[in-house]
Amino acid sequence: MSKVFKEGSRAIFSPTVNVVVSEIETIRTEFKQLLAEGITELIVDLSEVKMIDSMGLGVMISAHNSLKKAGGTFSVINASKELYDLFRSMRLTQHFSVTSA
Amino acid sequence: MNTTLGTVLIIDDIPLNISLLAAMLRNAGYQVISALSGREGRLLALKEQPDIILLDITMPGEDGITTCRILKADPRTTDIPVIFISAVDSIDIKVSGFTNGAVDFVTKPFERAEVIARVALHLKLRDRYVAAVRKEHTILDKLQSAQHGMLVKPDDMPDAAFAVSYRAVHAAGGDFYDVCRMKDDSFAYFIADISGHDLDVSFNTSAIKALFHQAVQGNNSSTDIVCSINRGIIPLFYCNGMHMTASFINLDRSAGMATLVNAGHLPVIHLSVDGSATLLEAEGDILGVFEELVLHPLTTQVKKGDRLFIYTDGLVEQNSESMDRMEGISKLTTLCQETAYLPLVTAVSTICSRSFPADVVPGDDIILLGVEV
Repeated sequence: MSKVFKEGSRAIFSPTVNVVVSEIETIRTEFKQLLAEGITELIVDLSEVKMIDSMGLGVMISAHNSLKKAGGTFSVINASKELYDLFRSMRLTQHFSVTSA
Repeated sequence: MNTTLGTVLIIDDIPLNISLLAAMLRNAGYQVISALSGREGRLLALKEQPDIILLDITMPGEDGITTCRILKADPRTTDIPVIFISAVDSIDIKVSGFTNGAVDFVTKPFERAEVIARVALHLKLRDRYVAAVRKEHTILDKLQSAQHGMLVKPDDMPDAAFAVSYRAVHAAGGDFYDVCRMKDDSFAYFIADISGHDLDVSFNTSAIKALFHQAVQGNNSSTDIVCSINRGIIPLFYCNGMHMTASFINLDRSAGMATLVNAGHLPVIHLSVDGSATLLEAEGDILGVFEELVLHPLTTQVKKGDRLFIYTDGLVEQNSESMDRMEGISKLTTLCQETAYLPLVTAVSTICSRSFPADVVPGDDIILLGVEV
């Protein structure tokens, strides 16, 4: 389950569950729908997320790559310290903006 | 020869109902066992493993809906089809029954032909389900066997002086390792963690192995080898939303040098022969998603008797909710130190068994690869 706030071509996507394998298909579909609607700036707010597994990272990387190819941007905000360290250790912070809470 | 079409367990608190149903079913060729309460029925189901259960809904104490829910929650009875028998023909009750795992309903008073037809139908469906599951298990067993067959064993390459522990969560895993001779006294050690655990993941491991060997045999630098693997897997991974983290070590024992290339993977534990431990961290992009790869290799001196441990995250993220990898890595490092006096093979198996005792099922695939200089 996620909350989505849209304003023009910008969307803030706030998952209310952990971004893990059991939720991936739903999140992937929601991302695809946003991109199909013309969203070019996708911001994922991790305020309510405690955990992201490898499949969760995969869906975010896919969204980043799709947006980059279309000239858009993907970013992550409000990551907990642990999640920020995870993004940093995988060097994903060098590919898209990740800010901690 | 005394053969039956299957065993039916009837659970009903009214003995007359049991007698009526039992007579119908026995005449049709079924063996019948029975219980007068939900609890008694559950215990009998566990013990006798009937082929199908006819379960009354309205019973004193534990009602049929509750009995069904408990049966379905127990892996030992979850696959036994349950048909509810009820005098109440209410949609709400039927929906509740289906929601809790029933496959069908028979309404009282019983019609012999209907009861026999429904039991026969669900036994037939169950037989097909069991056959499909067996077929799937056979395929998974073959896949697991093929996947394990691809993994090099320490005895295959004694000069490489390594030991490994590998545990896959599912029949086919998403973690992978390989070892390959680069030149005379120099070996390449590679460990990878592909996102996900499903069959798509395991099918890719053979491609990664081929790419690894191809790159190593091309006399490339450590960085070039990893970049070459990345180029090879992008077409496989990119469109499927997959990625891979990996550690590559080029260990030159003659020169006393180890070069580490880490692609978004966990730090390598360097256990010195004097007992001190260091984490080797080399920054690098994950593989399979970025065409332009940035890798910062790390070269370090090693001495005879030193050990290097590379591993996948399943070993250090037991309490995944906390996501505290560093705590897991710290515990693993301590275990590496505590087992330093043991031969490498024993040390690796001891570290894994202490991290995950035999009765603990890991939440992710696990590889621990230990190398002795």
